[in-house]
Amino acid sequence: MSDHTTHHTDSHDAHHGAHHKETFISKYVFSMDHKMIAKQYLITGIIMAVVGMVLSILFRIQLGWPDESFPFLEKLLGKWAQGGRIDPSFYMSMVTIHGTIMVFFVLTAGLSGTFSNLLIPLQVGARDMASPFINMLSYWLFFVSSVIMAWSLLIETGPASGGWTIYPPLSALPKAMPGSGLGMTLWLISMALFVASALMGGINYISTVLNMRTKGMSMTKMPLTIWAFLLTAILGVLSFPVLFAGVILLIFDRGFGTSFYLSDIFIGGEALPNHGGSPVLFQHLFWFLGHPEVYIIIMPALGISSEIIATNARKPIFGYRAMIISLIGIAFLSFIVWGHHMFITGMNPFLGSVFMFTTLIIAVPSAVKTFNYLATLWRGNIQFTPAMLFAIGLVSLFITGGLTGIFLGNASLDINLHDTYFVVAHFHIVMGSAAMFGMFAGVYHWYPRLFGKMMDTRLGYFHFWLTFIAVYCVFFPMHFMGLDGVPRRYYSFTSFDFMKEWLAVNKFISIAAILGSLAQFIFLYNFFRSIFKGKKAPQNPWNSNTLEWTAPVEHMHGNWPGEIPHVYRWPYDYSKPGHDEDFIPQNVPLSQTMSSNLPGDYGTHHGAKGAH
Amino acid sequence: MNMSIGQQLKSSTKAIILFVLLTISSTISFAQATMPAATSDVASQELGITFWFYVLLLIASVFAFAVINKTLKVLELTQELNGKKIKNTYNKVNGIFFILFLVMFLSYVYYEFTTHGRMLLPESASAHGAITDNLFNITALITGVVFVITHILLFYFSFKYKGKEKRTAFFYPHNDKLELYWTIIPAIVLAVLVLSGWKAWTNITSPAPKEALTIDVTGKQFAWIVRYPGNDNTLGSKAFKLVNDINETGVDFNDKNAKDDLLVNEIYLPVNRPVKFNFNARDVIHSAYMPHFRAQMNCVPGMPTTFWFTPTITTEQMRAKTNDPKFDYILLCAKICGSAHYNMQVKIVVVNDTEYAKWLATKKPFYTEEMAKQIQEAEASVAKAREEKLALNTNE
Repeated sequence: MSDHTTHHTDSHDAHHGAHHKETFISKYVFSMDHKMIAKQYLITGIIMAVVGMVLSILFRIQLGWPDESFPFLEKLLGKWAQGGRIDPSFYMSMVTIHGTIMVFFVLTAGLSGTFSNLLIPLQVGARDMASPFINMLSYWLFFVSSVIMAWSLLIETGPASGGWTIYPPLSALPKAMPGSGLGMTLWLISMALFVASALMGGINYISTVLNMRTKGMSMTKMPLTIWAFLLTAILGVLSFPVLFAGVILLIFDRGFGTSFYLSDIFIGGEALPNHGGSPVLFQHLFWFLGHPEVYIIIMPALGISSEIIATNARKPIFGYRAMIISLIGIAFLSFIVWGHHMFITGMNPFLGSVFMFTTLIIAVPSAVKTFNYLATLWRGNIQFTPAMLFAIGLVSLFITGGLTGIFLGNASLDINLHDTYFVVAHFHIVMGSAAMFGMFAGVYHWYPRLFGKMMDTRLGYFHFWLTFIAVYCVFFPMHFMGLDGVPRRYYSFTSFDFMKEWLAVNKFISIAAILGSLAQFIFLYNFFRSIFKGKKAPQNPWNSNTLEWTAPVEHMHGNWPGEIPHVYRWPYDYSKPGHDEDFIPQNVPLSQTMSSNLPGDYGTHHGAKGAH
Repeated sequence: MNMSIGQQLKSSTKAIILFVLLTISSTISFAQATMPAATSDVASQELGITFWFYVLLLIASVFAFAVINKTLKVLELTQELNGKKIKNTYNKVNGIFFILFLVMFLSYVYYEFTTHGRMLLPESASAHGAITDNLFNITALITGVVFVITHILLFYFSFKYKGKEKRTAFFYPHNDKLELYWTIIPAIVLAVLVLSGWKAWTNITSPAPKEALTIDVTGKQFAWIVRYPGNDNTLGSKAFKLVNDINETGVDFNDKNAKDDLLVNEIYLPVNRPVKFNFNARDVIHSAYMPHFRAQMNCVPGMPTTFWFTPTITTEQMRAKTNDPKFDYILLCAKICGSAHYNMQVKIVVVNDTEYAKWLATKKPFYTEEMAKQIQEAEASVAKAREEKLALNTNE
């Protein structure tokens, strides 16, 4: 392994010295450098996030003021908002595209794509990804898929509108709703490309982590970020193909007259010939991806926050091994819980009980992670960087949203909560906002490594506090709407007497959402301004232990000039007694820290060492 | 930083004055904008004004924000000049913010529970719902305690251990015993919840009792078709092939059980008698959600589903309990099904046995001679359309 690495190093450097003249195209557009690809993912993700956010504000306007008309909406949306009132079909489209963009384009590609690409080679000590070319393809497929998804907003019949879960027959029949025409076709094409992109990325992440770690970087010396990215990639590689299969079958049902999901349908005064298909089959295929998908979203955020909390509490992450085991536990269990989305689809009740058991088990590793975060903060020396604030915010949101999952995972309670606003509140807090907070934390923390500049701290504080307050104002009241039986994806709440009492609450939520979204412009301003005008980043701004902070601030191909640093210790030697500084980077040999070494440090397992 | 601090302060004072002026002027325009309008023309004009008011408000708040930001920057610079590390000041400020946030957050949660928590569904009107409501309350109590304790710890630790120049963090990588405790305790608590949930779930999903009243409910875009079994208490069979615009759910009227079936616009249920719903959908998936009975089941084209429960409280009793003379039970659609998904409802009325019998007596069977004729015609036209389609296909 080590021989191979050094050999690779030499040839790589020689190669670069001799030929490679970088053009604008090869450096910024079709780049094969993992750091540039990370930036491409991040900026595309941010643009998609703004699209998703604007959509959410538009439908929040409808929900907050269902009886009023807004002439500016007609100017903005044309025939989709005649007389300044949003059209019910377009409302459905916005909900659908908001969900799709946020789940896949922002929190999967934008989060995993950015940070796996940036951190895997830098933190395990590799020159680049295992296959830089496939990595580049992965980004460009993602880019094309984003363009198609965004473009579908502009077509005559409107974008896909059957919800982000696109259950057939609704999504299969253009007669069922206008969005199931061309809009749905574009959605399916876009997602097929997205799956291909996710697979290429995932294969790369896995092979890089498994094969290209620097000397001394055993699996039990890897930062928790890398563990999280590795498991995320494995989940993606195993589950995305199932979605792909589901999508292809749906394309066949739509275009080629097959009946995988269709049976006994009478629509538009006409009986369809399809017979023998099952709409529930699609739900099984969809949620076989769909449930691991929510962990694909939250696990990188948890990895990022573990790293940031340890660094900024100036303490080792509490229970490093327990953190890894619980990540593995979550990853494994996430494959056998998909049925909890389907308790009341008419699925066999016995299967429902099985899925209820597996679902509630998953709360145990999640609880362990939460308690370990709390124990890490205990008696720390907490440095409140904006990244740290967001990481703490993530823990709070993860607790709040995780606890409501215990209600929903219980089949007998789910009967009355299914498809209500309780679910909306639950997943927006636990995987929407929490993962978004993880992403913000990551951006603030690794911005110096991404752009070689520092972001403005003060603006970061404003951003955090406004966002944190807004998130709770927006999503907390939704729990109670759900408990009153208010279903999700309703265009307005004026048709039912019992929902009318929630109109005022909806107005409050909409105002909070609008203010919260305005706070995001502080971030956007800070982000884009700092690229050009930020202060130059020091080598190791947060006094962190991991390898990425040993690489030069100015990006270079191959990450490190000369030899890749070797690793001698785990990444969490913060505030180790006996050492003069409160951190010892991973590349500092034990021989240089004789005063602080513990008996366990010489063994192979870190678990052996500890506070005695 | 070419400007001196003095200059900076001067420009920010100017900015503050300007901001105050802007706020006053925009408040005046807001006051004008909210004057009651008589005609719709005026209303739209008024909306235009409100729109510009909000734009102005936005500009003003961006401006205000910039002013605050600049002022803080000046303070930061002054601190640095005095030789203090701004990092420590911000650690202190954020630590205090966290403890303030904790207080505000818990008060907010208390407010939510006591205000919005009182606007929830009334007590369950079904037998199984009482059990699940109880289970819900137990779960809410347990998670509520965990929620409050963990949040107090999270924000209190953030405050207590905020970074200080002299503080050294405690090197504490793990404690196996502690970790074992907080793995096992949640596991036990969850096991209790799972087992009680499982027990409730198996009861709810067990086969309906034989004496249950059976009702056929079919979802279509965007209405519910409800069929009662009539006097024989047996629903006639259905076949998809028989569906047409008149015979909307494809009832087989050659089946003698079907002859007395009733189609109704409102669901009447006798109290304390189990009722079994046969659900189906004829176009896309719908979900029959009856929140007051804690009952929900998806309606899937091509796949019949069922749900049964026993209503325990009549509409009249519930009106008295909720102190709302207009209260009604409802069945609504909870699965996204198209543009009018938000308005797909049918009223449910729970009555005592005598009233139920009275109501039933007023209903006439759907199948009459007149209907038979219409159905035949519809079937013929469907068959003709099919043939034409086939002919077209062969021509191609």
